[in-house]
Amino acid sequence: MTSNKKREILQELLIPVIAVVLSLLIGGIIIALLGFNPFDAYGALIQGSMGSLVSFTMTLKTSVPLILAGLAVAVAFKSSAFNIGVEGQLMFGGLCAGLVGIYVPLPPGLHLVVTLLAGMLGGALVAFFPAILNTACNVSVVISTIMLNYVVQFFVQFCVMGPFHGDTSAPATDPLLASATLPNILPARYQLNLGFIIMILAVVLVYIFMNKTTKGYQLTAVGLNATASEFSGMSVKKNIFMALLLSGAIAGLAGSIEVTGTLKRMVNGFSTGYGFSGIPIALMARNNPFAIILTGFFFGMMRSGSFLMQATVGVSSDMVGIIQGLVVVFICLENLIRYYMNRIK
Amino acid sequence: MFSFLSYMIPTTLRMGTPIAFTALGGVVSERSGVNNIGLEGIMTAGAFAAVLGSYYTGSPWIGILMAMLVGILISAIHSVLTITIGAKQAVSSMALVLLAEGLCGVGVEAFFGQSGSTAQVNNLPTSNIFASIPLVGGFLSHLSPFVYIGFIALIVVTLLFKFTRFGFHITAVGENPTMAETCGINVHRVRYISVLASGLLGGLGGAMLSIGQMNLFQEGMVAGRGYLALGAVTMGRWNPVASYCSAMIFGFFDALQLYLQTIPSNPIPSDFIQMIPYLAILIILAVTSRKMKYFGVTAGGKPYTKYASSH
Repeated sequence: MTSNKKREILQELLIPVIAVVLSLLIGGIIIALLGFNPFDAYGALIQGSMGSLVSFTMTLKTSVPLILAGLAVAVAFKSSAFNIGVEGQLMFGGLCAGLVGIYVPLPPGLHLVVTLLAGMLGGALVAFFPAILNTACNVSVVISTIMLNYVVQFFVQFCVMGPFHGDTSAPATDPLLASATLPNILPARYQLNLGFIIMILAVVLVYIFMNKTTKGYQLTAVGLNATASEFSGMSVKKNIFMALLLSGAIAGLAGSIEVTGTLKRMVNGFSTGYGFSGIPIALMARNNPFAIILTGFFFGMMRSGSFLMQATVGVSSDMVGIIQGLVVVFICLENLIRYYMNRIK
Repeated sequence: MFSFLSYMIPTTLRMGTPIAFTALGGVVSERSGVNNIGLEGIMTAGAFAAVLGSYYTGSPWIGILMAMLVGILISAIHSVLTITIGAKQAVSSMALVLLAEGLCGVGVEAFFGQSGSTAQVNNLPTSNIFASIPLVGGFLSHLSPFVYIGFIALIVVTLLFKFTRFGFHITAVGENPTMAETCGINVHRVRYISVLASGLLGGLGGAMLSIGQMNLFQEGMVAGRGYLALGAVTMGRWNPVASYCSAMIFGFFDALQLYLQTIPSNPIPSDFIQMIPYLAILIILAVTSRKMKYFGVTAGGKPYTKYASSH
């Protein structure tokens, strides 16, 4: 590897880091403008997310659905489709997993597998509609995926509050059968469950699929240059179709891990914007599955730390949303950052 | 039947106009070659700014001004990122949505000391100046002034594209920026103005949601209307009048949804009724996009740099 190339790789790695630093900086200024001490706020954010082993594993657990949501967005992005419907696919996946977990008694082991598969299938089903609308009717994926988010939201609300409402005052179903819940992989107070391992497995599988298989290669090629791919005999629409289904399945997995691992029942509106956070997570990682683990963890940190920040310093946990938006803004500025970095060297 | 119509016509106008404002903004921006998925974020910011303006001055008209101003400001981010820097337009738009939602969430707590929704403010639900007109005065005065501002916006945007030099420039820049630049049109300047104009109109759309239909701002109150507006632009083939009418079709389904919910002992669960506007747009888009001959603005979505071909 020439030193020039090394420098280039280093530079590409630095861009997301610079984007995060600048976002935190501006976020800090906003916190100061609101009349709080930004150092206290960020201190509480770190303390709340990594201050102890318990809070660290909590952060890891929070990161699991975020990383999977990022992975889902990235898979679609690779083929140039912008799937903003991850949120809905995730919710519906959670619902499917929850229902199979409650009403389909199966032997232990098998039950869990079937439950997770049902969730993935549910996610893929929601993604199927925008995929087919795009292939057959030329409907923009952006509009159809976002519209389905609302349709799914109302449908899930109907199911959870209506026919499947549990024996509880909470907006939730009955608890899942024990055989359908994800076992803990650490002593109980650390709260980390098998979902974490499944997430790592999913990341590795997606990496292998994207980089080592022909189908994955075609998917990426279509995203890089649709015209050239079409001329060399690949079907652009078919690949986008496949990418969306895969994306939906991963989103569904994220939802089912949340339902079977963390909540142990289906709760209406359990996803607090996991799907939307997936967008900056994938962008920051430049759609690289392994980098998504890092960026997803970063967003998990902000989410799990924001509660302590709100409780002790008083900064609204919505601040995390602002920082997410700022990260995307600065990722968009990558050309500018690259330009200045080239001037410096 | 008469009671149905007398409910549906004003309600369609009431529900459709915010989408129509935003759709008109989308037309201006997309005709110049800049896609703006971030209209949802612009509406959110506009809705909050309108409440803020009305809260502090007591005048909802100042609220409208604030909403337009904030709409312009937030779309300025999009214009810098996509026009000057050449960032991906879909990604930059998403930044607007995330930013606007985060800022409004924090803003609600910072300015009103409560989370979720703001205090109630003075609003503009009716236009009392029309009340004295015989026969139709009652009907006209029951509509929000926003509906009339919407008509004006429609006329202005239509005239802009039909008769003005600048309107032709927008179309030229969207269809073939290289050629436009060769003819002496400043592509970046035209695109900047178009995107800022879409921010102004999107802000108005948001303002109508918060101080036209209601009298407060709630988190999540835009509920996808910015995206519905995008759908209206596509359905209206980037034509102002057609996009306005498409927005009104969505307004009609929204009104229908509200009407169905008022029927007592309605057997359909309200969750399914609330799905109607979103499902309707999917079906309409599926049917109309299929045989689409005009695939949108030729240079839409592509950044333009001087001295380099846009291909």
